[in-house]
Amino acid sequence: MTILELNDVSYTYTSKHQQINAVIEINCSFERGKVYAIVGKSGSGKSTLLSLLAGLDVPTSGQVLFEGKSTAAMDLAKYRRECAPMIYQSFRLFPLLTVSENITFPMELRGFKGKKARERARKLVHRVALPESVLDRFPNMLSGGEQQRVGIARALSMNSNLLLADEPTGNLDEENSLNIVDILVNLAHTDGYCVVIATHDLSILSKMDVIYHMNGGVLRLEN
Amino acid sequence: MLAISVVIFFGQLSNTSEKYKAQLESVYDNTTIQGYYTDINGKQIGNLVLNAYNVANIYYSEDLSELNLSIGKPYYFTGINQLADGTPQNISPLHVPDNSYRRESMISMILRGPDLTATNNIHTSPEFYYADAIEMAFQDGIDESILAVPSDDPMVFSCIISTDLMAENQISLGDIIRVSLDRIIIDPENVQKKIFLYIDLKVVGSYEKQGTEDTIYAPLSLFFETDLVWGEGQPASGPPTESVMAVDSLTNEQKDALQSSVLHSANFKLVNSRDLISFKDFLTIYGFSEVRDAGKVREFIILRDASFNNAVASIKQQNHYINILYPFLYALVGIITITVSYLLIVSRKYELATMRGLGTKESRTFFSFFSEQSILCLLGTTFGAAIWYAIWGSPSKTHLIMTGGFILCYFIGSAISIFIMNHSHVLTILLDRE
Repeated sequence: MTILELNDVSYTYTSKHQQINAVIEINCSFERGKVYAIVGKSGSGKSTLLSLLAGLDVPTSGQVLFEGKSTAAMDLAKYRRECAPMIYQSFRLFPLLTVSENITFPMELRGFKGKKARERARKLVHRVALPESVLDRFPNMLSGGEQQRVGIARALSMNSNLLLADEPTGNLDEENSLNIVDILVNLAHTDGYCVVIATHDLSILSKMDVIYHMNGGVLRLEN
Repeated sequence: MLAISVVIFFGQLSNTSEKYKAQLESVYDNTTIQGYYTDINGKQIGNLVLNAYNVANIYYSEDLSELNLSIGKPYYFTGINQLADGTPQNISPLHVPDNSYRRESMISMILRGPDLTATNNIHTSPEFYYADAIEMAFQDGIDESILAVPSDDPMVFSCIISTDLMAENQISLGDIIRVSLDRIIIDPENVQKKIFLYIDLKVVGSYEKQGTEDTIYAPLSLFFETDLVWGEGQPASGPPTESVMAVDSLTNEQKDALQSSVLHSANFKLVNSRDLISFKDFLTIYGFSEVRDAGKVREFIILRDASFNNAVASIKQQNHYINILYPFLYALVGIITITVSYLLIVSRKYELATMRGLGTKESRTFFSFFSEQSILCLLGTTFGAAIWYAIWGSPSKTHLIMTGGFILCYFIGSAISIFIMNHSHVLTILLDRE
């Protein structure tokens, strides 16, 4: 079942002196229950494409459709808050909040707070294979792999069927990378999430359902 | 730390500024500026010829708290006319010889004699210009203030004489002495004869003389109509009051009386040293002369304001430097504050962008970061103020205003920074690999 669809999507960075076509006329779709990989060299435009999927910006031309609705016609903040959770290479956890508070933060934005939110955070920590004891710790007390799992738990707390990940294994060692990928694959195959991963880590491609190759802003399906 | 440092720094600045202001006020409050009439060379002497009308006009300027005058006339000591116990001595007046040579000799003798000085303040009379203190003794219940009080008995004036004169002539306190002046009158007891004008003076006090002459001090009203200057008041009772004659209210006769009166010395004190400039302006407009710079009125006045002016000029110069320097320092601290508060937000741009990335509204990110920075700033300021209070006491008004300015700058810096971060490209920040 298609959750995201891209129709002739292009994105251009415009500065005073130049224009960079980061994404050029992309047409594709993403379905629930599958793990997608977008691979490509640095600067190929994969992160920009992922950001357009995440609603951090709207395409210069074309449409990104979430469940049939164009993101350009939606309140982007609301879209990000409710539909498009994202995991970052640098984790992007709040350093002054505990793990529990980091995970419940998106829930609070949706008005879901208090004891119920903390209980859900506890369940999500289990889901990403972390012990409950991490809930009261601060992010800088955790390893990189643990921080990324917290990042995933925070994304899951948004209760969407979409999960976007920008180089989720970029800052991790091989063992942790595989663990994180396993979690993401499991979420797709078991819980029906649509997981889209932008990466240049070729070692994880064997676990992907669909692989797109991105080069110079152009997306090509890998056979 | 920034807030604590700034509060203490502003406190020190405002303290220094307040200190100079207090010093200036202290100099103004504790300085009494004296002025006196001199000769053309600036020498303070006792035989000046001063127009009483001009002197009175200075007093009417209302800038003076004290006006001390003296008029001296040479006298010849005729003898004791009555002892203190009331025993009359029946001393004869000094008869004018018929022989013109002897008459002239007698007049010369009187003119060579010491002065009978009418003054309202013995301390400021010419003999004591350079004396630190005067040793005096009085009858019970009497002091030198009697000089400032018009005599109740127009026939007998009180006087203070030198201890030497007392010893030389066996005069006791309470005796009435008779002195003759160089003015010739008809003898009231024998109209065929002429006598030198005599004055009976009751000795109520004595003093240790500073010079060689046995000056006799009598109330100013002996030779001068004090009512013309002081009205019903007393000649040494402070600045002019409503009861005092105002120059405009003087009758022509009174003006003539003042114009025809001559004073031999005059000095005064200013009510308020803050009025020095306006008083100088008054003297200039009136036309009084300065030493070696004769004006319309050929009477020379010197104001003892050199050290006062030096002190005031020095403090005002410091204040001037402060007034130039401090705005720069305040502006510098303001710029630093805005910059620091700006950079503190910039250093947390990833957190702000992450909040935005998670779908937080701009208003919420603004409120969240701004309230956090505000609390930090206010806590730091309060802590700094507490330290200041504990060490230096209550902050001054300037200190409070400048601290308020600091808080405002901090808020402005934070608000600008959050606003810019809120409107920057979230995508670019979030995809930054650090």
